[in-house]
Amino acid sequence: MRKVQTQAYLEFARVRTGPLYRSACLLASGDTHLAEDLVQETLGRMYLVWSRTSKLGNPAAYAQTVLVRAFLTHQRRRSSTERPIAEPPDRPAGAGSDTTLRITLLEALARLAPKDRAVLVLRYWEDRSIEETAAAMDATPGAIRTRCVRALGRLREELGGELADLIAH
Amino acid sequence: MPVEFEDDLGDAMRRTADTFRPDDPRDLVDAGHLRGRRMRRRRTATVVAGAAAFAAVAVGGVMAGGLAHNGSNGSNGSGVAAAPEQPSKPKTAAPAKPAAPQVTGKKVAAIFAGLLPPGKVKDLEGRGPKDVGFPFAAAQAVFDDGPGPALVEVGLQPDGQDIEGCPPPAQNPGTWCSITHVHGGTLQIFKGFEYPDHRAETKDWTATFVTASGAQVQLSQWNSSQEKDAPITRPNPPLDIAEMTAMVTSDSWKPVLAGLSKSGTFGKPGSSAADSKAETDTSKSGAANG
Repeated sequence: MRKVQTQAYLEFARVRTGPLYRSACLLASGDTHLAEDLVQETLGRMYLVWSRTSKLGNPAAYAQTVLVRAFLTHQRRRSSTERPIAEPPDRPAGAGSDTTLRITLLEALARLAPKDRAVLVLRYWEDRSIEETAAAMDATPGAIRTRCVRALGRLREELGGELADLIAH
Repeated sequence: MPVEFEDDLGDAMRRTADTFRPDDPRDLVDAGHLRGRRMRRRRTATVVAGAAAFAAVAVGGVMAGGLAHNGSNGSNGSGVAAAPEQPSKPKTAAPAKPAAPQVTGKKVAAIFAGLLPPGKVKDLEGRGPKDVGFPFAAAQAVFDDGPGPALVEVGLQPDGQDIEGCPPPAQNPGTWCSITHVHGGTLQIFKGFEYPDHRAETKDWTATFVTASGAQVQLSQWNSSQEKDAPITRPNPPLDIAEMTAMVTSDSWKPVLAGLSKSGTFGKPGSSAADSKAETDTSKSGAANG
């Protein structure tokens, strides 16, 4: 890789590691070890394609998509080795009510199928449209719409009005 | 599905995600970079092995003639290497929506060309954050001041790495290195070789300037019109130490660096909530060199 491309790649990785890690933590429903692995995998794959970065359009969006695909691939290969970690983080997480919110949400996400979780993360954390979510997951918009409605329904059953109460605090 | 629940879910995800911070982001970057280099090595090895196996099968087929039916149903496929895994380009087209003033590649290229000494400039290219989607700018050209064409390139980023010192000369025979403190920043000049094992006499001279605020301007030049896999065209790269120093410390880069450091929203996949934290990361203090 050309020196200036390496320089650009490292700068890109530095800027994007935080957002990628946060997305990965949601996808992994709090398993920070898996999240770190997914981020490393994503950055590794970005390195592979970096020389074609000018053709990637928006490398940040590309990386988020690579992350989701890495997560889904991981889930296919190791169907149920994920360890939901809903305990408070090692470092202070801010307001106390957010700790309860975090545990509640991550536990509920962990009970969803990986693809359902990915759809919700793409739609409600990354604010992707149905079409963008479908492209990221190699699915049709119709399939994503159906999956999204179903996943929201399951999550609502799990959480009921609890989510609104936790948000309000 | 009530819209309120979807709104609440978005809020809950943002607040939950905000509680996650990598223990050491730099470790994560280094590990990802290392993984990428290993993937590339594996891919190269796979392609080479596949080509070798294909050649062996082809030659074997010619040499063995009618042996193709010899106890094999032809389905073992051992001579065919697995296709290198490569992520297909996502179809997503979330456009970047940078809010900060954009530094265009054209502008970077123009500044770069203006800073070169007299000579012929060919294949001039520039890239700005608008092109790459995150705070980085670069330019390159094939420059010839008489003795022969040489590749020269410059890269700028708002948060450079610490200059760690010159490598021991004993471990790098034939190289030259200096570190000085100029213009309130730190400048390293390194005259080395493209290939540390000297399998080709391509020289790689680099000037790295880290400003007082931690931004970095790095110039690299070779005595060849390409970085690798091209014959040398002249005894040395074109710019001497004074010219390298002038190039990387020039005030002309200030507007570019200012544009990069203001680029808190660069690198966003769109208007994504996932990237609301990118601003925090990008605006990290550039105090690497205080």
